[in-house]
Amino acid sequence: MASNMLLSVFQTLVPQDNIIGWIFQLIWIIVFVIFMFYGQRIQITIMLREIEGHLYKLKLMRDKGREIAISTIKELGHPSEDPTARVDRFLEHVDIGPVSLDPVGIIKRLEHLIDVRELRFKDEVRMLAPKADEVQMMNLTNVLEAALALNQIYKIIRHFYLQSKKTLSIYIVMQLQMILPMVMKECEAFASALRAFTLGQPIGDGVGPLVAAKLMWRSDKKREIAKDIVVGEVMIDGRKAYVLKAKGPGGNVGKPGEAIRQILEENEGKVAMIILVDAAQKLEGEKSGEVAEGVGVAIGGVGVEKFKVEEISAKFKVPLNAILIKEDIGDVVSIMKKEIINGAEDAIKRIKRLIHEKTKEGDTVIIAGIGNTMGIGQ
Amino acid sequence: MDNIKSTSTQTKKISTIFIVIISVMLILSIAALFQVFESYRRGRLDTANLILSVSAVTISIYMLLQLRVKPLKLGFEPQKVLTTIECVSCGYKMTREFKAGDFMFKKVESCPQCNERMIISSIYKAPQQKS
Ligand SMILES: [Zn+2]
Repeated sequence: MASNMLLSVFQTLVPQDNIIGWIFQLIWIIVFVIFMFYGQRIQITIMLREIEGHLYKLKLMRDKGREIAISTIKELGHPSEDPTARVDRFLEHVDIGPVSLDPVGIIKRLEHLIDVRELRFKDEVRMLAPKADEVQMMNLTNVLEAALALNQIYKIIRHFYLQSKKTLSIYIVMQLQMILPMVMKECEAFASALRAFTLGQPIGDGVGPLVAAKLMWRSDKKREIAKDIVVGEVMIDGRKAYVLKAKGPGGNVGKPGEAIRQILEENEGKVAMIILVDAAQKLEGEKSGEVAEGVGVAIGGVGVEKFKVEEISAKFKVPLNAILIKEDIGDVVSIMKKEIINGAEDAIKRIKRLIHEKTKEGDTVIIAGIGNTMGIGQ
Repeated sequence: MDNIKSTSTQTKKISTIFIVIISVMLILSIAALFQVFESYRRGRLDTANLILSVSAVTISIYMLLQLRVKPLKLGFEPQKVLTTIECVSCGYKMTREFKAGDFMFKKVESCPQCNERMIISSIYKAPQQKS
């Protein structure tokens, strides 16, 4: 019976000496020829359709981000006029990096550009939301930055999508398809960050400042040392520790490099150790909130602050230690998770152990919590 | 902006054509299946046609199901955030929902047990309950 069935299928698909057989053979040949000459075209079309779906989602995200930014500004800032036009103009903001053809002094130039950018953003937010207080102003700046990021990512992806549609080049399409999963993940993180920013909730990146705040909040010797950086003096295990973090609870990273430089100069370089605590991107398979130790300057971003710390610590020969709390890229800008708070506790234990093992009583150490301190006071 | 609109309308156009094609395929395959039954009633079982038409029906239904628009999750959905308040001297702990204006290490109302000051010790995303 089964062999009978197979035979009849075979007879239908394979040409017999009748008209149906000829038709089937012709169809096979046509299909074969189409795939031979237009195979890649078909593949490109399928890939483009997939990218189109992602692009549509990116567009929705961007629009929603813009909408949230505008409504938050209206809610917190009570502007006298409609902020929509101003926000739209802001979302088209462009940064032009310094020339690197002659790299001498590029850090100084880069720092200047960053300062100007920050000032510009703050001015813009002040105009948009004149009634917001200092903390809300900081948070609004962060909201606008996230909306700006969503807009720019959407535009770049759209650019490559339209370009590949125009050229039908499989190489452009493939490049786009390769990076899209990572881009989407990042955008989803920005989307969830936007919500956290509007409410001033702490984010995963704030784990460094959280560790610093946990160490220094009881101290009465707190002062603002550099721009937006607070330093507190505490005794840990008989050692004098300068603990520093960005000034909270507004969303802010401050200039930790500048602060470390000033403390080192105040103490004429007599510092036994510098410990930097920061969030680090975890690898797939690692747990969120896991703590790792290392050597070097754990400061992210464009590298200005990192450069300052490296330079000054090399001048005074101060050992640099890093304590990293592992997080997923999505966690870095979304609301802090319980695991990460537990990671902060673990990091404090490690700092205490490190100080106990590597320094003597009466020494001075610097502990810097690096990251965005939104929602974390001191 | 015009560009975006044209792209999205184009997407819709392509997908309607796609739906029409699949529907035609579905109708044709159902007709073929019907023919198989007709010939079977007359006493002849056409196995090849049966297999082909059944698989065509299955494929087209599967493709139609695939086309269904899934609800897009953009990640802007408000999340449940918890705030833990702790007493500095007696260790009394209390967890409540996040309120606007909360931040970590903020001094809040005094402790109900010992009247000492309390601070917000942590703010975090509520762990998702699996239902
Ligand atoms: Zn108490």
